[in-house]
Amino acid sequence: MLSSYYRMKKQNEIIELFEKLISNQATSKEKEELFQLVYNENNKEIVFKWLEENWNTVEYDELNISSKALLNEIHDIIGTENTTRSEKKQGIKLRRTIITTMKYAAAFIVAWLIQWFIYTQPESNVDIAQVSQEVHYNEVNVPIGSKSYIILADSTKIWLNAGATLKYPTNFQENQREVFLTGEAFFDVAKDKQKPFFVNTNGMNIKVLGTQFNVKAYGDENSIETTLIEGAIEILGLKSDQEDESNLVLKPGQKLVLLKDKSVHEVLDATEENSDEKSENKAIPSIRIKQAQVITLQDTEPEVSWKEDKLIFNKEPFRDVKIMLERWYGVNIIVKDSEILDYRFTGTFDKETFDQAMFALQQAARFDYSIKKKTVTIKRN
Amino acid sequence: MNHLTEERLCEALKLGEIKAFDALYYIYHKKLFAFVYKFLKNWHDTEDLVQKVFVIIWEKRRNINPEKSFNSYLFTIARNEVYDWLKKKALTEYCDAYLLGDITQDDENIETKKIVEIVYSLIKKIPERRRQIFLLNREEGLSYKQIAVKLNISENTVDTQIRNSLNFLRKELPKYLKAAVLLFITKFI
Repeated sequence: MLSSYYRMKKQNEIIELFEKLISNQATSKEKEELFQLVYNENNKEIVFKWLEENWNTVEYDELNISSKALLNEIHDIIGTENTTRSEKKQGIKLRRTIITTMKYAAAFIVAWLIQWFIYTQPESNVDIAQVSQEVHYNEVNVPIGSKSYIILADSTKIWLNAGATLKYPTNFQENQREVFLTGEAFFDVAKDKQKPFFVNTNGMNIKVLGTQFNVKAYGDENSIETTLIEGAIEILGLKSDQEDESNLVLKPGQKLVLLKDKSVHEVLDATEENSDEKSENKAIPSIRIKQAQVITLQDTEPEVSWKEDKLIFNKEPFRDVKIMLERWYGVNIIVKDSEILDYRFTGTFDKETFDQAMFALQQAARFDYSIKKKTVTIKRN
Repeated sequence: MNHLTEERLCEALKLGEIKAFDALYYIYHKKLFAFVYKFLKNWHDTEDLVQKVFVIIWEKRRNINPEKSFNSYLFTIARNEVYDWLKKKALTEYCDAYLLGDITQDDENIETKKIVEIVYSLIKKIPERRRQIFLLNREEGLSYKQIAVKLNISENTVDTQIRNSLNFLRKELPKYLKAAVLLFITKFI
């Protein structure tokens, strides 16, 4: 009984503080308490309950607002009044629709894992060479530290992350649409059943009918990943067992991770270097995959948050955080003490500047850092 | 409210029918407005937030479950938005109170330690001359007049420089503090 009395008392105190906050009557001492209150998740329930009581008792019959004008503004934002609006407006609408599919919820990954095996590995390089003779290609290179967005001839929308390169035909062929990607990109592919859409990366080839998904295939990372947000995608050359003819098909919310076979990659790298003078063909060595995993995500937002200028980490070791920061802010990070690379970070950067991000990381990890031009040096303190 | 009708409206909204969206807007917008206004206490901000909530409703229309009450669904979205707004207000006000010298430093408190560290690192970013004037006032407790005499400048300049420093800190501090509070290390290996 006593404990419930204290709980009541605490609830009342918290609500009283919030009442003061909204009526601008909080003293500095109370502001300090409020600040600590709002960042303590335990108090959220109490505040939510208070908000709910208000929702249930709020009086609004007498309210006099310009309902129509407000609705018109909402229509303007969602861009639905008129379907024949400009391309730009439609872009906004579509983009917003995409955002919705991914926003909110806690960042938990990994519900269960399924192992997939690879029996055949497509040789994508050959395809590139053949096709490029018939079709003219454009290439977009996104510099480190920036992002890019393009709309293709078929109105497929592609967001490119820092350091990505996309090669796409100026006009698609009659029977298919095909693009080549290095780095990370988010695709919103326009539906066209007659012309399947292919995304080729070094190590993974995806067949699409019309859908939204993220692909991450940087040359300097150990894995290639794709996460499906909506629709369905097929991974060419990836089969669940030898008898089965069909390729792996991802469901929305699933993520495929292919681990590169580093030994093979490195050997190929070395041979390329040796024969560099002889060979004119500077094609990237095709990557061997040693393991494939399908992960069902509880929340896909962290996978695509980069599109909305957000960086989300969930227990991410600093070695990975470092790579993301380098790409994101276009900097070079040198870590003097290797144990820092194993620190795991959880958090979100939402439009933070590089300074703000570094400061927050330092606060969490207690390391020292110095910035000279575009190079950051980090060491333990 | 007639639940059967609302269920139909939600079904239509889920399919992207803008007329259903409009109908639900007309049923609920006043309640939402009055609710939000209770906490924001500002007409303009309330309009913005009401708009935002309905835009979310539209964007997330595919997630709507027509069998469940739209009233609770709308409330959940509004509640999260209002809560975020309150959080932001608490953060800004705390930063302001600290900068105006109303909050005394308590070394035992981890949050105040954090804010002190951030403020000092931000002060380093203020242009040298301005920083000097600011610190003479803050650290050494000199009055505007004393600073003016010491540096042979007008009292007006002192006032402007200190005000600019404060404005800079007020603008930057909440951003840094927010990032610092929200980011944490999960474990050391």
